[in-house]
Amino acid sequence: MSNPKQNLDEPKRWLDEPQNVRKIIRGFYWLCGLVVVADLVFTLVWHKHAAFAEEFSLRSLETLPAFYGIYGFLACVALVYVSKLMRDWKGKKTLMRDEDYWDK
Amino acid sequence: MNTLAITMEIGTHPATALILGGLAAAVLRGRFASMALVLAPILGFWHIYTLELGSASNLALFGYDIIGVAVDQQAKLFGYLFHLAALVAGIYSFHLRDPWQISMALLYAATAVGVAFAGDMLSLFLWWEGLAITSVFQIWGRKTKEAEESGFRYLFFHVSSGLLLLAGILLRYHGEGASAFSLEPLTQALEGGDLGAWLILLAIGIKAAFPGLHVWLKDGYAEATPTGPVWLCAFTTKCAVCMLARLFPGAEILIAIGGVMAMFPIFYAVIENDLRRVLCYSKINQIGFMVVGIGIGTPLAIDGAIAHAYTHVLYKGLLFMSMGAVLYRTGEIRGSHLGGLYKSMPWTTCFCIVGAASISAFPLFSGFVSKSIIITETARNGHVFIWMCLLFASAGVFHHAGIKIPFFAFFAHDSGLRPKEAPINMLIAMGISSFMCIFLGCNPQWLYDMLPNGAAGYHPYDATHVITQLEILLFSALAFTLLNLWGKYPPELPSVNLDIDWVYRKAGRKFLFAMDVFWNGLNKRVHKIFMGGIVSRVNDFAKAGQVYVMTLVAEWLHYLGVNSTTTTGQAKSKMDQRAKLGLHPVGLTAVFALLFVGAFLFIAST
Repeated sequence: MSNPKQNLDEPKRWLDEPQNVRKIIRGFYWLCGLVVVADLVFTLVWHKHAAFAEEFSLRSLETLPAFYGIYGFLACVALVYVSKLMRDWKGKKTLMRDEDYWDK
Repeated sequence: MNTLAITMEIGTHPATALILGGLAAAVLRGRFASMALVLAPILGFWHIYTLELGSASNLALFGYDIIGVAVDQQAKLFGYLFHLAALVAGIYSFHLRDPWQISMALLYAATAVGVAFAGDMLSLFLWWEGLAITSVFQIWGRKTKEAEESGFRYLFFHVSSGLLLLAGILLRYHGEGASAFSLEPLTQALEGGDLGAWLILLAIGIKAAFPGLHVWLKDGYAEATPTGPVWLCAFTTKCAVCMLARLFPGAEILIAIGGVMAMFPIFYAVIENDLRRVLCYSKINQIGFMVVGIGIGTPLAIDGAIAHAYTHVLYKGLLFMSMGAVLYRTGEIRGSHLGGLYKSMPWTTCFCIVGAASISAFPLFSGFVSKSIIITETARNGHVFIWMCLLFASAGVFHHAGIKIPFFAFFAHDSGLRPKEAPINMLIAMGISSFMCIFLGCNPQWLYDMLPNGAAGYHPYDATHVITQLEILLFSALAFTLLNLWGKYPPELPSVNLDIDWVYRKAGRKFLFAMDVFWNGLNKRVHKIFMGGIVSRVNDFAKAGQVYVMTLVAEWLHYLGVNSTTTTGQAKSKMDQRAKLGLHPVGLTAVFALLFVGAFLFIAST
């Protein structure tokens, strides 16, 4: 996060140190793992409420441990890649235009 | 019949305090005008509190019975909400010194209260039109050319909405008479194919930003003043949600519409550079959840939709306030030009994060206790595909509104901007909203007790629910983190993205251009042929014909000794001159004309 524009008189913030950012990210990975473990323990040891009634086939999938995590992760990756296609596809602009497009 | 009689079970209209406040703000100047922004909502809030459920006020006019006000639980809830939103937005706008913006903002809130309490279609229509006209001043207040044009586009949508509503009401009135004015659900009429009901749905759909009708939202809000969207986001769309819940509960089509609304804006939000426009897209996404809830139509789902509208006003207002503060202090709102602002705007950063956590539905924040009702009801009623869409949208909203907004504005790369912290009135407003977001998230019962059906014993803090929700959010954040670290995340680029508005802003312009070229070209060509060609020749002929004839016969006349001039050349030039001066005797022309006609008749007869 170093920046040439940064004022030299300014005290360096805690977040300006790359190693601190790495610490936060590492902590975040642990948090993700912790939630999956909690889900696993909860599914195996206690009773997990299913969102769907018995007759739906999605029920067996939805009650699997970490289903929500995997779904959320894949959803976001898909979201980002589809959005990128909305900017340009094979080098051709799809929906993105210059800022003064409307005034042209 | 022509009697004007008013029966009032309630003292004054619930919107009175806000209307008087708006008028006072128009007359007063300086801080006195700003005081109206704070006092009017407080008085109005207290007034709503005193209203008794079931009371109404009628106005008999020309034999029609107009129910100006009908108080029920839903109206009271929206009444509280609109006053609360007006109070927060009022404190936020306390520094404003533009009487138009201040007074119209209060009148705008008043019309929203009027819609919430409207007792029949006629009073609804009047308040509905008021919403359109009073709200546009929050856009025009920016006083730029872009804002002015955007305001007109905004007005075009909203005036159309009012006209469609009127058309729908009149069609239904012709069909079934005075009972068409009641605000009873129209779901059956809609599904029976009643055109009036469809028009009414379309009218509400414009205000609710249905897909394809949504562009006024991202167009207008992004051009509004720094304080504008804080007002705009609270009222117009929530009035639409309020009326959808009244008129179309359980309409199947709303489930599909809501699903699309929840899905498509998140893709736009990821690549949008204007951070307020990102919030606009996420707003459409959130309204999508409410529309799905209304479409499912069970008492709990409707409660969920209304609860979500309530929490949404608070957290979306909070996010717009934090972005408004950034715009106010830096004059910049493009993600590509912001970053690192947490260093000088720490409080705004904190409030923004609270708003982001609320919209993402983190446990203990307000979005969690309302959105989950809708998602749970979707699953319980067996809408598998829509459930997956809403889950996708939940992950997506965290991705773009929950992370992208605070990350690109306050962290990310350091833009070098070191603006001052937001003014104290803005911080107080954001503080109140943040408190409400956390308070409702921790004490959902306060919210549930106000709902029309009391949320029927729904408990959001169930262990399964908390764990699964945390899982989906953290893994969305994981995707964001990893894509960012690997450089796969689309960077913020100075750009605009085409949306449906292309149809009327570009294709429409091209259509106009094509029409201009074709019809005006045709006009020009025809003008050239007729006016430039034929008419001028006829003119020449009429004016100079006699000269030609005279010069033609000049030689003969010379021989006959009629002309006194010596040479034929002289005679010709003399005649030319006289003709130019118009000195030829009319009779001579007439004689020649007669001769021509005679010759023509002679030729024709042979």
